[in-house]
Amino acid sequence: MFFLVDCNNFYASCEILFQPELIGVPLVVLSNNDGCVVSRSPEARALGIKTGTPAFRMREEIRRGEIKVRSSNHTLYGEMSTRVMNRLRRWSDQMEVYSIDEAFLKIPSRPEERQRLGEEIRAAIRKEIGISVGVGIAPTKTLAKAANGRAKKGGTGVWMVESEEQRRELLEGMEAGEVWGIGRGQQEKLAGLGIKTAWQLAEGVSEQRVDRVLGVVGSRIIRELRGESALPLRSEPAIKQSATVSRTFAEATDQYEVLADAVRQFTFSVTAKIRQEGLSAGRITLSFRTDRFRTNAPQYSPSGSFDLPSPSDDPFVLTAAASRLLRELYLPRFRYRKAGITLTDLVPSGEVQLSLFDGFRGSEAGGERGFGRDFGEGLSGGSGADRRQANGGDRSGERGVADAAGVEEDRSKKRERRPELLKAIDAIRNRYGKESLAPPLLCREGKWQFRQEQRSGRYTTRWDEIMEIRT
Amino acid sequence: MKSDFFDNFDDHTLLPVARTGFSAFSQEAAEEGLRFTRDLIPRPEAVFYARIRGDGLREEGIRDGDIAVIDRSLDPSEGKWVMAIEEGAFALRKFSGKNRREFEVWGTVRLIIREMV
Repeated sequence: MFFLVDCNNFYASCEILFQPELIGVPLVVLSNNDGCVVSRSPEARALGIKTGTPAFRMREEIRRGEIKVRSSNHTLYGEMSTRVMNRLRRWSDQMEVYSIDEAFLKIPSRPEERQRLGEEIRAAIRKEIGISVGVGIAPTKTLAKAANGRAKKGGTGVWMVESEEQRRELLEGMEAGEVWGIGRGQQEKLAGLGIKTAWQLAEGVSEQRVDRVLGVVGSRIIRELRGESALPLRSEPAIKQSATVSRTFAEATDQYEVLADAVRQFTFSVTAKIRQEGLSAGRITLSFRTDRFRTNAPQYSPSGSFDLPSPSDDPFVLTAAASRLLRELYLPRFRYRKAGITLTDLVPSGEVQLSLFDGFRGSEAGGERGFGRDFGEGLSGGSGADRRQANGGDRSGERGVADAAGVEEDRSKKRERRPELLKAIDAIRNRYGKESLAPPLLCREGKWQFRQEQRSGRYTTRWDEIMEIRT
Repeated sequence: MKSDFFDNFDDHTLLPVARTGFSAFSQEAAEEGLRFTRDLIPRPEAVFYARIRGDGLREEGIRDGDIAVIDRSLDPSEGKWVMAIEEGAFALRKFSGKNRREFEVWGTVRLIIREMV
């Protein structure tokens, strides 16, 4: 039996737990860049505010204090999620964490125990962690998802689908488009075939006809709706294939330095991510773009990759490569709004063979797209004879590359010391937080950093931000 | 002689290599060192931390700057300190059957920690 446990208004619930002044008040939590509503309290929902509503539409009420606002506090939500998932694990080790606030569990249980189990889970999480959850219980994941949706609508907060009658009642009361895995476009196509409710989808149609509309996954969905489990519990995710850090800037910019800052920070972050998993990257890709919503402005969205001579998890090497890519791709007078770094060809760090051309000596071994040659030369601190320079590109990026590589004579010594340096960097960032140590910012204003004007404290991860009790 | 024989041993009957050489008495008496979080906070999911601000409870021995370790899994009982919500803010109160109606309990105070340095 699958138990789908999911948290109600998770972000908003986390905020309210640690800030009792928000109890009973309409509260919205905004996305990155303080753009749209991603979570709301029941009082805000009662006002008709939907997720996705842009913040500016509530400007007046917010200004008057009628609606309270918080920026997303991912650190807090992530740690609270860990608590919930760890607590859930005590009921079963057959568990799949599906998202930050949802998990599937398979709990061996007798039919007559299940409702009680669901209520026990709900009560325990509410009491011990302060988060309210709904529980859907069914023989398949898709049905459990549907049951969970129903559970949210009221009653005990636990909804079980066991008998045929229960399954029918649940599915007849749902639209086909509400079924997990059915998108908006597909809902319309199904309606065209006369399929409106989830029950009709489950029972009223042959698998072949469904295949045409829903594709290969369609028959899996139908089987699941009929009570036949076709989606197993997914255990720990496979080894990562890629890692990306990509952000939309709060303000568009055409300034090279601003972009360079962002690119260096993102590279540093994404490198830390793979280091955490014990991986090294064989290829780094930089993409950035202008604001695609400003249809009148000229658009430019370049992307370039660099294959490293040998896989690296060294932030200096990767930052240097990223800066090099930026110098090659940047064009002035375009207003850029988004940038991202992706690391691919990930391999466990232990497997990396040292290459003769490791790092910076290489000429031919340098890498793809003709950058390698320039890369190698650039880092030997030598002439920039062949180096193509983007307009105004000869700045920080260049300096960064030179700094990272060190001068010719010292280079071998620096490479030896590097593992300790990197370990020290990791340790400091782990202990004091990710912002404590990062490549130097050239632009103090950090125009590309997204707004987080109303972020609450990191109550469970920072000693200097814990709750306060006034006496 | 394959490993079936050893596979049936319980963990604790296998003597750690490093310990051979000590007397049988010390092996039997050996225990693991005390570890604060593992021993005092075995179920951290329900445990939260709050800083005491102000001198209002000085007479009770609770001072400004102390850290209260709050355990939501404990049920409040007579005479125990709880972190409560009063008028939209956190407060420390002593729980009693009489005053329980006056505030909502957020969690029970298990420990107070004071740094002496």
